[in-house]
Amino acid sequence: MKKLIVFLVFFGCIAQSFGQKYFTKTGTLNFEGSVEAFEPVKASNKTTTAILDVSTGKLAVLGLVKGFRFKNALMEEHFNENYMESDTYPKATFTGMIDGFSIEDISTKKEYTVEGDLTIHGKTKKVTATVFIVENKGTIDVATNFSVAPGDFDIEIPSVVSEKISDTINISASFNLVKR
Amino acid sequence: MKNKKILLGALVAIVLVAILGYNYIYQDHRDIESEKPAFTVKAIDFINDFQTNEEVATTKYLNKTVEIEGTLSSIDGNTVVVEDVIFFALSENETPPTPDKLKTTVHIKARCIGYDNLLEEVKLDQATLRK
Repeated sequence: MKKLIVFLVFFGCIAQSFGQKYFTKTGTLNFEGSVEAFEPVKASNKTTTAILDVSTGKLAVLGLVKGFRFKNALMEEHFNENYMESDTYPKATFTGMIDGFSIEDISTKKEYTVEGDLTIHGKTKKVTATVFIVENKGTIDVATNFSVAPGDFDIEIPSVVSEKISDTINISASFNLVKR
Repeated sequence: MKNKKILLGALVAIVLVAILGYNYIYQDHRDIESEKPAFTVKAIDFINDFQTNEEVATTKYLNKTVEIEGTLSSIDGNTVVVEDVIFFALSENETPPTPDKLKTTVHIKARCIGYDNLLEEVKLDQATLRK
């Protein structure tokens, strides 16, 4: 009998921790590489997918490059054709682990470090960023902000426009995750 | 007199170049709603293409205007899902369909932005529903 209880509790725990995923299909990714006095170079993607496994702290993000919308149509075209080459590399992804994550700790906003692989333009690079996570009425809000250099992802900025585009591109993300 | 004519000609040329240049730099975005679809497909065939070979399907549909016919499976804010696996972000001016349209056949025109292998969904944006 005791064995059976242990057995049941054991499997109960596995079932509990297995597949505890929160996700969104409409996460926001913003990037900005503006230089003062020139036209803002920024875009927003509001169709980003993010999945957080709350039992392990594993975070996966996928943004479709064509989904980045610019105010300026020509800038959007150049972004896709010349820089991101989105016909060849349609996805930008991140997979990583949130260090020390526990769903028990996020009733108030908590700061974590996330470390993982960022893939842009077909090139993968290890990145570390600070994320803020809070539970909000059964949903989980995840927000982060970090910088990358286009050169790290083999994205060449031609010299004619290089002074109009910043050397560091700021990326911010915010996801409102619901239980899957 | 001759100088004046040359000057006038140069001025006209400069203005013309400026206007053309301005229109080029500040050209309008594509208007998916008024575009003729490059493909008109059934939702099941569309998703089948991606599940058979993602790369081939991506090359075929990416950035193209597609009109899709299928069953509306869910509505969430400004987004809808067809046949459980085709995700549409509605165009800014588009009113989301009313819940009574759920489980009915809809025709949606949108631009394909790619395949989401995390959720195994195809994503499209700037979607409008055929009334």
